Amino acid sequence: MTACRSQRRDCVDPQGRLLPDSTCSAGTYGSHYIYGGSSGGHVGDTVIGGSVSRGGFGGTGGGHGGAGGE
Amino acid sequence: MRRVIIEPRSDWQARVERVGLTYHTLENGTPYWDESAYWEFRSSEIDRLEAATAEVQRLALAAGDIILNQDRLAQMGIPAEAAPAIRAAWNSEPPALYGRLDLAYDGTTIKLLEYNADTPTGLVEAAVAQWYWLEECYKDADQFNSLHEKLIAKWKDLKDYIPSGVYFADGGSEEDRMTVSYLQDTAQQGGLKTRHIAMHEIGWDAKRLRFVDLNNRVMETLFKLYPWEWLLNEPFAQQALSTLPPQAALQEYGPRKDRRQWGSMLWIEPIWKMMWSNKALLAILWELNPGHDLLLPAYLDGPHELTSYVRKPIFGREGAGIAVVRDGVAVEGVLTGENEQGYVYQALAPMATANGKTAVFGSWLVDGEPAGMGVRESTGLVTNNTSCFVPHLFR
Repeated sequence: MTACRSQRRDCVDPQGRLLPDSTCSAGTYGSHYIYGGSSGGHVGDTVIGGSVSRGGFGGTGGGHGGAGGE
Repeated sequence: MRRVIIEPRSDWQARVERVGLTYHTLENGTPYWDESAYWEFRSSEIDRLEAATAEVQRLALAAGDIILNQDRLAQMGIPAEAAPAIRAAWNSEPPALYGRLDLAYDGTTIKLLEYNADTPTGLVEAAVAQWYWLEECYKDADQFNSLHEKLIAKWKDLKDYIPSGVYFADGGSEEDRMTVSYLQDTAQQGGLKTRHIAMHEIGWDAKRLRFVDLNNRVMETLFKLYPWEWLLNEPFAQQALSTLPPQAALQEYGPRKDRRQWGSMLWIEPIWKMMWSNKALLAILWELNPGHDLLLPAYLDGPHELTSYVRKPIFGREGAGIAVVRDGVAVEGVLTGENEQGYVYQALAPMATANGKTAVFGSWLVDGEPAGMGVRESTGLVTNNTSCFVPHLFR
């Protein structure tokens, strides 16, 4: 993921609900970080106001510059 | 048919670059676009190749129904999470743009080698570079090539479905970038608004539950030259599936068409192409149509009766991991090592050979219809990313 590292960072599921940070650290399917949001701080809370996350595609085939065509 | 040796145009590099083929030379300095020869066909031979392409497409369509009816996606190594979306996409028929069959043809028999249905490349050279080559060098001859016209026609058909335009994305290699750029151009000529975005630039807006561009605008339609099997192994896999039916319905509509069944983002190629771009399809086609004259014996659980065969990884790309076995002995590649998703074992096909080269005929389809051909040549039996593209014509 690419974002400003000084911002608050939350690990969320695809619906934007808070997950334990370890879920993202482990690279669990569908989990990702969003930056700059806020939540109640409990697992399952919806994180609101968070920034858009990027970099969730494009990492296969040698990363950026990889050939997906054949 | 025959391979004819000729003198390349003195400034061929500049000429093909002008029409978008910037990747004309391999890293070792030898030509990838090789106009020191061309393949010449009779019109009757082209008719056979065209008819064979249409027939294989018919077989593939029938196989798609059976794969889903018999729940065989797991056998193809396709993740279970993707199954509902594949099934829903197959049934709701979102647009599918193009594909390329790789055919073996020795002048007598035509055999399917594989179907690159999701992310085929070699398009700029097949659609454009060889057409200009023909126009400049052999104006009196013809070419199996209606790719450009058919692509534009398909985009025109889609115009009403895609009022907000299409994003074109790739992983960043030069060939993929130029292929996407060419397809983007055909979409513009078809009257669509287009934008380019790199795959890694695509954002996920967790509030709106939509993919967004670098300006955080919602992306409603995405053409991606990026394989589905890669997408589904990446951090946004679940988000991608969440934009597809049956999880998501489209939130905005075209002026005259209803695309609610296609999901909140229209993906081109659709996710059901995972069934066709997967080499397990070759074994399923043979099982469903044993003895068909366009198919080679192929199996998933070993070579069976075959003593000469090609072992291909189900998700292999550009010839990677392929081993060729002749009379029980590996003559190209190696048979050691295992692949998590498994292999397909396919009989060797009679191939066109000339001047120490083996040719594979890439037969293109646009909107499910035969649309043209490109010829790749290799010094061995396996077509890979160093195999040359050689133009063709017919008389």
